[in-house]
Amino acid sequence: MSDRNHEFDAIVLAWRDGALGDEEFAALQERLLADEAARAAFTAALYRHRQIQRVMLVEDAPGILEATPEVPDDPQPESYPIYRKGYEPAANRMRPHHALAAIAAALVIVGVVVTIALRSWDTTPSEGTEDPTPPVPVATLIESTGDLTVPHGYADEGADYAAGDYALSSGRAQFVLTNRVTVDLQGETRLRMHHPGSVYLEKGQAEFKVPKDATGFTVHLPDRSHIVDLGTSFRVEVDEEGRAKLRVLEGSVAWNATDTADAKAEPIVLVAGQTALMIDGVPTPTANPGLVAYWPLDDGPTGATVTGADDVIDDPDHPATDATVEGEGDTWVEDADRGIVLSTTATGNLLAGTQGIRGDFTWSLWIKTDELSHHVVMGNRGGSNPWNKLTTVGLNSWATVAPPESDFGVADGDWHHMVVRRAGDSVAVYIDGSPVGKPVKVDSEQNAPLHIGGDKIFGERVTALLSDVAVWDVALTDDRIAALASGGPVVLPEPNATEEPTLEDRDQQANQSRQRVGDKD
Amino acid sequence: MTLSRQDIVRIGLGEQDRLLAYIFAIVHDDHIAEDVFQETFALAVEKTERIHDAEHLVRWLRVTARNKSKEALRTRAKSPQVLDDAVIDSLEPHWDAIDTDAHSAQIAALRHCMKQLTPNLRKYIELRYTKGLSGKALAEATGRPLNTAYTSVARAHRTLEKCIRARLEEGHDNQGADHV
Repeated sequence: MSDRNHEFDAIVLAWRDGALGDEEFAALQERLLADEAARAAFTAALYRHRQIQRVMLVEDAPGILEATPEVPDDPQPESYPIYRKGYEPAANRMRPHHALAAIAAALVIVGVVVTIALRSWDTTPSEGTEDPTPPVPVATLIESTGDLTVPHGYADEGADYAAGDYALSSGRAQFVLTNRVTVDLQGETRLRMHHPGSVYLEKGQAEFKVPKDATGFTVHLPDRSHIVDLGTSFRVEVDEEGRAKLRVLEGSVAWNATDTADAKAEPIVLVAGQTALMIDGVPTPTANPGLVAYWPLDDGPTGATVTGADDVIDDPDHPATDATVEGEGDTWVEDADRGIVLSTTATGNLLAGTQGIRGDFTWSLWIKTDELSHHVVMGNRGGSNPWNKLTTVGLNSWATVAPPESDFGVADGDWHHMVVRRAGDSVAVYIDGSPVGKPVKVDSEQNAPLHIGGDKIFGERVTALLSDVAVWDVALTDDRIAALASGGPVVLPEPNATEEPTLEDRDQQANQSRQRVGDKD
Repeated sequence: MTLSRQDIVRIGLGEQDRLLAYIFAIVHDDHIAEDVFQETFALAVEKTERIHDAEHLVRWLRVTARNKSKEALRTRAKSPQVLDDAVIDSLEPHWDAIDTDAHSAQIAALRHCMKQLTPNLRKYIELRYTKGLSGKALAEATGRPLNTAYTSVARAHRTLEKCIRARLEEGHDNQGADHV
């Protein structure tokens, strides 16, 4: 064989489909053993097949597919005869009419096999060979609360589905792939599943939980980048323009842009809590990972009674938790250093919602007071345990040994920056950027509603000016805390932001933050 | 010297297409091939200390993938058209001959060349790879004989290969300036 030719490539493709007869297969093997050019052609054909498969996974084919005659629907999933060993689909219980159909199909297949066995070797694949590779299930639908379209049939919970396009128009749908990868679709989403190890998220939001033995699971994206799991769970959002956003929930993932010729960047590896966007073909970590709530407390107008406070951060996991007022007497006042701020009194406080925080967190705020007391500056006591309570003299936590109470040095009538940070099982307090006191051990989740400026239940309300209260669901680094304490913005400019924030102008920063509602990280 | 985890990921992803094709040649089943690839990749990421350099990684991936493929064939339902060991052995040097260094450029060229296909060949490629149709289903969908369906896809492959080679030789996709 001096050169590759269509006929031999066609045989390779037919072998790939399992469509060769026994004699044809034997002839192929003989040819491969005898002919070096055939071996080169064989490997090249398989490699090219794989490359085309990958490219086409993320290519749209508008127009052409629609103009193509429809292919008859494949049999219902329950009648697919091929299942991977060790995998028992929930819906693999054959109904009586399916059993009869299967017997009939088996007879047909036996007949075809006999026919094939009698066929002589030809240089082209056998005409009329029964296709022995019907669709294999790749996913089981666990739950669907929305309008879900699946390949080859109806969306039945517990049923198994083959490769194809999955479209959710609303609500939520959860699948488990045959490699035990869990896929949660949320809202209007289109996902193309060709293999359990590789999917294409065309639009919408999908969360993937990948078991360790499925490391390498890949999500292809419209911008031709792909995300590779390294043993973790992560969420990917693709907007209408095909722009993707990645959030790592546990473990780590690699985001690779090398599918685009103009992106020679190395893949970035992101860890839990990190978020990234694709910017100019390069995956770029976002500047504000884990920022889940930010109350600038500059709602105003000056002199007005406080009726609530705006949380300017919002995303699907952490909907805006605008604070409501409890009690009365709190007002908006103009401060010479920080502009409009919250003046909280012994008769009022703000109540904000929970932020769904289960592990690490960071609270940050500015305070100006001369009150040295056990009254709550910020805390989540009340209603449920456990809790944390930050005061001007200490930090108390439920079911832990309270630290030796000390004067944090903030009750001197000047502005001070306070931070509570949980990292692992330890909670620490930072004043003006430096850690103070002894960290407190915690051993459980803390997810009760936040109180700002006081605690109605216990009547522990501090008299103070408060500003720029923010919550992260990650433990901020010491450097980031120091930057906040030195006047740095709560919301950092994203890498694609064209305007630098004005550090000196806090009002402008808050306005910019409001403009980013829904794009926190 | 060992490779970092990031190096493993980068090189491993560059090898993905060749390795998956290699595994498929052994196991003759796309799903098993994906599983074996994932197991191999996971092991490489986990055992970075075993990998000395890029060349070693490529060899290690190949050997590990072959071992795991054999293991999969022992424990799972086996396709009747799995190639003999002697054939697999004879293919080994040809996998080495596939150039994966220009992987990104090849993919970019492939995308460009896909658009150069005649509408008829492109239709075959799209049906085969977007809808995942086998030769028989392809023949049914297009109303053409089975031989024609396979030969058309093969012709499209060959046309793409020529186009990719020409494009790479011209240096189009090495810089990515005219990426389509």
